[in-house]
Parts: sequence; structure tokens; C-alpha cells
Amino acid sequence: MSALLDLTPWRQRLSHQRWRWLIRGALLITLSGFGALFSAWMALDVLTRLEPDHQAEATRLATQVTDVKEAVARLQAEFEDSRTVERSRESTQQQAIAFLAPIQAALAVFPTGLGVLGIEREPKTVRWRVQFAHVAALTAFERALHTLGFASAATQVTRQGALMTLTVEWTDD
Amino acid sequence: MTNRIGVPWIARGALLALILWFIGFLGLGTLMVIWPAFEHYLERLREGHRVEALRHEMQHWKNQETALRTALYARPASPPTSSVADWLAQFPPEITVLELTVEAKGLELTVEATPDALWAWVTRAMPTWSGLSPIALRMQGVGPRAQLILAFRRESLLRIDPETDLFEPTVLPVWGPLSACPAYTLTSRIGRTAQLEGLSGTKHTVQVSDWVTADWQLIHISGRTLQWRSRLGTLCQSESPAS
Repeated sequence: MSALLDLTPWRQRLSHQRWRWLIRGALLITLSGFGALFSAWMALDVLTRLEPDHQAEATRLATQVTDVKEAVARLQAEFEDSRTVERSRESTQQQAIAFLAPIQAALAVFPTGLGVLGIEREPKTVRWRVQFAHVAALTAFERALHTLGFASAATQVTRQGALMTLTVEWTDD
Repeated sequence: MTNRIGVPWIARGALLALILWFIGFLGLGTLMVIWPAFEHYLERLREGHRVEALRHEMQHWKNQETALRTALYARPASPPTSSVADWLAQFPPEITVLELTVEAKGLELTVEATPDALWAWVTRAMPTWSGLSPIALRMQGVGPRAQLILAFRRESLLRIDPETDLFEPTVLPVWGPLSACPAYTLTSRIGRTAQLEGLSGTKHTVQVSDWVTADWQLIHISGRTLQWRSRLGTLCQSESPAS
């Protein structure tokens, strides 16, 4: 064992050199790292500053969008309401037309020699009470109603002197 | 292969330590300094995109608002809801309301006027009564007045729409039952002019072809006999007693 070289001084020297080298390296890394980090931070800061700040505008726009959305919802509700009213109006008009049209159509073709005593209109029937001087007028009236698409359901004629009164029930199916 | 026995750890691990220091230092620095700055920068970019998206959204909603406003303005304005009293108030003055029965689900109205006015009014006005569905109509009467009884079902709020002429105007045919043959007495006559005396003793000077009553027209005088024609075209004659 004594023949072996005493390596202690060599180890100490090597260790010493390495420590120095390590410290210098660490310092170099630290300094250059600081530099690099600083440069990167600076670059990012410049980029950030170059980019305009949209926060205020985004907040303002978000508020405006909310307001416009509310206005649109209000308008949509108003539009729906007006559509409902419009539908109701159309339905009323159609019902009134369907209800009055048979009478109106018959009045338009009413022959001379015939007088009206009464008109009754129910959902499906129109009842006419007419007074007539001669049968030709009655026939003309019945023919006109048939042409208009009515179907006679019942006819009742009452004679009153020279005049006759006719009660006719017409269905408008 | 180098025998590394006896070599101090500093000699063996110096390079590794430096590499670790390099990584650790830069990692820590990046985490603490660069990453927040980078996040801040990204946030700015994100906000920019968000603003752009908000502008697009705003444009979309504004377009929708404009379209809805245009559609609403193009639509005729809905009339306000009306009460039954408002409804009655807009009846024309020539229409006399005789009776109105209001029930939970319907109403019945009785009005009176001349037959022509009554029919013209009902054809013009009924289609404008939104919320009232007609279920029955009865028109009757004697002489120059007629009564119209209308029954409705109330379906929703009552609105009175502006009037539009949906029907061709129609003149009602001869209305009401004929009165009996006129009982006049011929008191004197000069040519086509005659003096007639009624049952009450009132005297009328008429010409042949005059409408002496609403129903009867004097068409001929033969001796003491008066010949009449009704508005329906029937004929009758009345004999004047010999004086």
C-alpha cells in the first residue's frame, strides 16, 4: 500500500480548481441569465405596450351589446304582440266576412217583387222571411240562392190575401 | 475508460451542477418574471380579439334591431284595447242602441235604425271588431225602422280596428210587411189631381202616380174607384162610397 502514490495534494488542487471554475461558471450563468431574462422581459414589455389596451373598450362594448340585446328582445316581444293582434284582426275579419257574406250575396241578387220581412243568421243557416207578390219573384230568388251555393232545408209559405210570405232556411255548407 | 475512484465529487459533478444551475435559474426566472409578462401580453391580445368579436356581435344585433324596427314600422299599428263602453261610443249617431247584455263569454246587442243604415253599418263595422266572433244575427222590424240583434262570443281583448270597406255597398230590398190597401175616399177630382179623404177625416191632394203612403202608389182613378199598386207590385183597389 505504501507503494501507492499519495494523491491527496492532487485531489486538493483539483478540487480547488473545480470549485473556482464552478463559482465562475455559476456567476457567468447568473449574470447572463439575468441579462437574458431582463432582455426577454423588456421585449415582452415593449410588445405589451405596443398593443393597445382594449379593456375599457371591451367593457363598453359588452355593456352596449347587453343593451342592444335587451332592445332586440323588447322589439321581438312587441313584434310577437303585433303579430298576435294582426292574426286576431285577420281572424275577426274572416269570421265577419264568412258570417255576413251569404246575406250580402243574396241581397245583391234580390229580385224585384220581393220584400224582406226578416233575416236570421246562425252559424250554419240563414233564414229569410220574404213577402212576394208573384211566384216568379220567389222562383227567381230560390234560383239565385241555389246559384250562390245554398241548399234549401225547409220552405214554408203562408198566404195573406194577395201576398204570400215565405220562410226559407238555407244552409251555407 | 477512466478510473474515477478517488476523484472528488466537485470534479465529477461540476458540469452537471452548472447545467442544473443554468436550467434552474432560467426556469425560475422564466416562471417568476417572463411568464407573468407573457401572460399580460397574451391578455392584451385576447382582449383585442374579444373586442373584435364584440364588434361583430354588436353589428349582428344592430342589424337584427334594424330589421325588427323596419318590420314593426311596416306593420300597421295595433289599435289599443277597448272597453265595451269605448266600443259603444264609436257607433254612428244614426244607430240607436236599445239593449246590451254582457256575459262572461259573450254579449248580445240590439240596435235600431233605418234598414239601409243598419245594414250598411253592420257590414262596414263588424269586421273591425277584433275579439268578437259573431254567432247569431237577427234583423226584423216594421216600417221605416228595423232592429238588429247581434250575438257575439268574446274570445280575447276587444280592439277596434280602422274601418275598411270589405263588402260592396248594398241597398236593402223593400223592407217590412206591406200595409193594407189604403182606405181613402175620393172627394173631388180635376184631371190627374184628386182630393182624397182618409178615415180620420184628413184630406190630401194627390196626383195620379203619387206614392200616397210608403207602400202604395195611386195608379188610376176610375169613376169612384181608386187603383193602387204596392211597392212589391201587387194591385188593389178601394171603392169610394157613393155620396
